[in-house]
Amino acid sequence: MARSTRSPARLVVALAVAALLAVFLLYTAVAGSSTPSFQPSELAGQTGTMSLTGKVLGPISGDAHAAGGLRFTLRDINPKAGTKPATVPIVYHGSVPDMFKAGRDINATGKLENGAFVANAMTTKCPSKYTDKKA
Amino acid sequence: MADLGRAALVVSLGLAVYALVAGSYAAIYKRRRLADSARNALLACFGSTAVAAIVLASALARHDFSFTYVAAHTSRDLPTMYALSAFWGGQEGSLLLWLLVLTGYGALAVAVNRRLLRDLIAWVVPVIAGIATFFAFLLVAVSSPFMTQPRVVDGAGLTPSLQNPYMVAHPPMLYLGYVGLSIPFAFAAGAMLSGRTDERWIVATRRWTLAAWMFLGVGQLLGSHWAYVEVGWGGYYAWDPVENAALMPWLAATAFLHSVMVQEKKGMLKIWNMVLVALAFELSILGTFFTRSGVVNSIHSFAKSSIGAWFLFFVVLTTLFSVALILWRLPLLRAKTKLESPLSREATFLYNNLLLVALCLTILWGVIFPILTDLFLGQSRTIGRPYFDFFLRAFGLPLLLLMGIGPLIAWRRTSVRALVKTLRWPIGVALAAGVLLVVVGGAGTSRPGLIAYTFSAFVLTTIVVELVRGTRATGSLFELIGRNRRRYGGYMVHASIVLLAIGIAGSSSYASEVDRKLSPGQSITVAGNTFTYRKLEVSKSVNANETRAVLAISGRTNGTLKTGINNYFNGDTSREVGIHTNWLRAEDLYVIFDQRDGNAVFFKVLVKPLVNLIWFAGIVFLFGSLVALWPDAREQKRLIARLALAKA
Repeated sequence: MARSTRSPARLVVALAVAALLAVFLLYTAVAGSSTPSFQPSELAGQTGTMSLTGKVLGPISGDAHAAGGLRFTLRDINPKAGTKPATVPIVYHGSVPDMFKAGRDINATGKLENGAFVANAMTTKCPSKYTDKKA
Repeated sequence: MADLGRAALVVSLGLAVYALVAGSYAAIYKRRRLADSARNALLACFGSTAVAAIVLASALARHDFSFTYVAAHTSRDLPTMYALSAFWGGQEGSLLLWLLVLTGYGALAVAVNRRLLRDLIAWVVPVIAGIATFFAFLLVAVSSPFMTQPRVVDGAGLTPSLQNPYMVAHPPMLYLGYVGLSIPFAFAAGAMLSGRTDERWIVATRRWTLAAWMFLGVGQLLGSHWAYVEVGWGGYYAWDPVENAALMPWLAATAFLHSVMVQEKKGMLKIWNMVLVALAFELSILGTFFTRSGVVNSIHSFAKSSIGAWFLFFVVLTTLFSVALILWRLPLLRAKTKLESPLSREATFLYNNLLLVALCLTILWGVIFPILTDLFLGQSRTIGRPYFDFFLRAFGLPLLLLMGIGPLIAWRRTSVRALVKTLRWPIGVALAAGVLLVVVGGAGTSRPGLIAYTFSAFVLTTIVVELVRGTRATGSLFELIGRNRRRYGGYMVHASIVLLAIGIAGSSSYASEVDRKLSPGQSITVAGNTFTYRKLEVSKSVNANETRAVLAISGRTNGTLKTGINNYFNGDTSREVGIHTNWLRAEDLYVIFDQRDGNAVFFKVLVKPLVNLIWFAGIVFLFGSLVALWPDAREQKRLIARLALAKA
């Protein structure tokens, strides 16, 4: 059997490959498909497509398939200590996910337009496995 | 009863601490009787944890709402099956299940190997006891399932979409997988602590790793199928952090299962195997941290709790422990042989490992990216599906190709000419399949789809060639499989991964999707299937108003389909998707009842070619894993001979 010889070249090649992969990942993630995430209190002044997470407040009105869209309000889930939770009006176009209703946490993707968040994708978070009937 | 449960957990904690401290002392100072005592404490720890588990299960079955946990996670009208499944439905019960499985696995692994691997087991006991101490401490001091309250009339209910048999089986399967990875980790740590770094620990834990890996795989597929048939969004995997938390340790364990073969055969990759087993274990703990801490934004919003910080602490502690051990034992772990050729089976396994780990780490990067950007850039950014899909293709397609080459290429070295000769049939079939797909347009415009199908034909042909050759030699396929269950079980698992790849490629690259509002009598045609909306049916069940749209299907497929929505009286809604399966094409016609407008309905219609191969792959995967796991007398003899050799 051949005896092993410790070669620094192997380590250099391995580190180079790892570094290349890391840079590539960083580039892909930052310049590629990453989307900034906010909650309602952080929205002021933001532009472009973003992800918004919050708790649905009623009343829920309108029609997600009509021009006016589905309308409701989204509130901070975890407001900063000592501050009043911020809210933002939502206008949503598209399929309304299962389990969507007032009180549920959702994640919406869209843009801020004239003070309202106009979303075209939405997911309702699965409630914790077992939830209160009255929730 | 709650007092009994609490007392049992305190006893478990005491026994685990004793097994940790006494076991470590005995292993360091070679005190055999004390080591036996520590081992017995670990066995007793399983017994006391089982008592606690029986107390909780009994309270759930009896709807004993004096237990805060029972009142918070079940209700009186919940069928017993779902009431019992609340055991792992909440955090406290999940932790108890974790401790129960860990001590059960640990007791069994230690009992089975106590004579063959006495010096190793002396260290394995305190390592398992150390992990058990962490979970027992959480259950006693941080998150107890035995808190009591004034008895209430009824408890909270179960979300309708979770009242599904899949949700009874999916979580415990994942736990059996997550916790199972602790056993190879404990044996690896034991091997390093005892200085016995030969392949005995690997041989002793092969089945444990395989079982844990099988449970993780089956658990994930069950969860995916539940999402597909129940959640009603048309998909089965969302690259969500909580889903990825189960995928990452599975990928690391897959790499480990392959690289141990190189160590067994050639004595190489010892350091790498230690790294992989530690990585798989750490990822299983990290997954729980992601799930429970709320640091990553997931569609699975488990209750956030303070135990996330404890898990982070445990991950850091065990990672430092693993790194320190590996660095300490580097001289012992260095291979005596080196890779002789880049064209050899060991090299192919190494490439497979690098790709699996690269895929695992890129997924990890995607999961922690929002945390890192929040920490360093002050703004959390999430990474979407295109990132994950890109790397799945970039690493997954070469992996698929290697799956065909690995089992047929020679150990040590081979030449390109010899390799091409060995693979002439698979190469010929794959090229013919690729050309045929291009000519008939079967692969459409998707290049990754075409590559996936071509590589799949290649791998399937290698498996068939191997089976034909072997059957010719032995005269019987069953005799062939019986002689080397590990090898042929592995081929079955490879076949299941090919089916999975074909299913994923077909259902993602070639799926059709159309949204349309239809009134009764109107039709829509999608991928050659015409869906005619016939009528709306409204009925009332015990707990919901149920609305169903009836659609007639004609064209490529004929039949009827019902899709609808349940409006529960508690305000919840749940879509009931309509699925019409064409078994010959393994294709689903999938219709979502999106929204009602009078008698008109907004439908989302999806045609998902080959999607059923994914679920069929799950069955083949389970079967192949069981074949590889099944006790094998011949292998046992080889194992005993090998251990005797290593001991000498």
